[in-house]
Amino acid sequence: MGRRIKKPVFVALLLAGIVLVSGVFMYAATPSTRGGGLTVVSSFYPMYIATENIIGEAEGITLKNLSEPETGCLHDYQLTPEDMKTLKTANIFVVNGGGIENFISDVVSEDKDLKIVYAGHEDNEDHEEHEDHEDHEDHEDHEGHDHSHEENAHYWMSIPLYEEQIDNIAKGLAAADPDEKRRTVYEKNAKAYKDKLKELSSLEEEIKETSEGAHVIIFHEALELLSEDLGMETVYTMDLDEERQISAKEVAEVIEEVKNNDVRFILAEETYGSEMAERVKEETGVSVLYLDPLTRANGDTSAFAYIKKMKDNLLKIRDAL
Amino acid sequence: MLKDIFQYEFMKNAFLAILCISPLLGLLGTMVVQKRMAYFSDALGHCALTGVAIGVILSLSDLNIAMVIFGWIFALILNRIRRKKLLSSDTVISVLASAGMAVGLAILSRNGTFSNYSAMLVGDVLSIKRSELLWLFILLLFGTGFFLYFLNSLTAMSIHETLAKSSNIRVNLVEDIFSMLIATVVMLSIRWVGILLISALFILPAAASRNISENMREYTAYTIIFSLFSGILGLVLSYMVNIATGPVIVMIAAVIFFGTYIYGKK
Repeated sequence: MGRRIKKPVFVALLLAGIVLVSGVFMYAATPSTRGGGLTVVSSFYPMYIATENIIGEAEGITLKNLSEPETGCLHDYQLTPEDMKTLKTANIFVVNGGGIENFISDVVSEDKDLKIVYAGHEDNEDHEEHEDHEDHEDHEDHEGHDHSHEENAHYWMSIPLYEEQIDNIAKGLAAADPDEKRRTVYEKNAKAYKDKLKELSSLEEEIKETSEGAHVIIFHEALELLSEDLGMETVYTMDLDEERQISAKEVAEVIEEVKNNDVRFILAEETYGSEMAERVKEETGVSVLYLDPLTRANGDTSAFAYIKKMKDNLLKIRDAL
Repeated sequence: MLKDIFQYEFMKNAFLAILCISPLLGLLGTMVVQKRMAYFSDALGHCALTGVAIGVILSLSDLNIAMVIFGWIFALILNRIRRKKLLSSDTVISVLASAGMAVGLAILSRNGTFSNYSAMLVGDVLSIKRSELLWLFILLLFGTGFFLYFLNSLTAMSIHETLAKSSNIRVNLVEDIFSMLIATVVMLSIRWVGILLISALFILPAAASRNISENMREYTAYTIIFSLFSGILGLVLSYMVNIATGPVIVMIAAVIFFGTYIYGKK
């Protein structure tokens, strides 16, 4: 045979070599740090911004967000092992609830000590029922989205409901935090943040005078709550927030709706809605407004991000009226 | 650092699952490579989507059952048509695999909700449930038992089918059971390995072992070592560096393959 090294020796060397190289990779990967004090993790962007405002200058508390999904909303998001690590270091987990975070049951079964704060706008007595999908792959296939048969849970898109969420988060944090000093800070900050939101509310009131009763078509469920607040009438909703495949029939349906209903404009999200919206625009000449459903940070995690982005949305609608 | 890993329930589950599944993947893999069935296991993986789709339509609470039963039916039909020898084996497999996959895609993508299932393509290590571990263990025992009992028949068949028939081996029966076993393993591992990579786990360890083995004993032993090694290291590595588990396991197995290839050529 003329081989220089024996076979078992070669195999052992090969495997040891691979372990060594892997070891280098592992060493290079930054381990997640466990900060002292209280750690709060938020499930996604609007929850992060709200909690950021409520925590404010409170001491001894860190806020983290789960890794961002690439797609629009969280419905189909699966936790990565990295997220599990982040949650392991957390004391409190702030979520929107209402079925938006499909993975909550996984988190609950994994870590019984983690306190979960539901920001959901209503009394959340029955949240267990909503979140009780044992496995995201196992639940039956409902029409459209999983949560479309329930009430629209994109609460943060409605300013009054967002205000309720702020209260709920502040209360939830206070209930979960043993530190007296921080608890008063939460209450104070929540109030201050809601005061800042008044600017948006008055803008909404102003727009509502002209927008009331206008017919709109909506390409992202989250935008429905915003249009409801403005008194607009939604004649057709199509949720285009994922890599959704549209059938030719649906395009025809939208075009018919536009023609028959005197539709003022289409509200859509740019990334996922633009292809469809442009097609309809071409066919019917209806105007399209691209709004931000605030599901992703797009680089802006400052405390003012919500106010800034919502204001942009409202101004776009005002200018189009 | 390593101690941290096992404070998580999902990592413990995944680790135990890999301990059960990877030796079995290796064992069956030796025969898959011998019998040139690489394409077959790939086709089964693609058809897992149809199994899921059927489970969803019947709104079964446990998709595993639907997937496994569909896998068996698919494997049996495939063997039946293949034995008629009207068409070459790869054509038959390809026809059935595409038809099966198309049905699955059609059902799962109605209402535009395919993205709910796209995790199936790359796999998700968090999907391993504690309750499934017992089944994986039983599968390991049954699979190993079958393999040892039929080892001679399988080897004879892989060398010369007609010769095997003439020496009173019930070729069709053994082949059917073997195919069903592969179908079961594929369907039970697909959710964490992913459709795109499942056949790699059968092929790579066995192929790597073939590069350096001179007899059946060596072939089987090295395959199991390679399979377990890439499975366990892959899981640990994927956890530490935050990459999907399936691809990491396959990459490690591929490195082993090229290493042994170079050694074997000398």
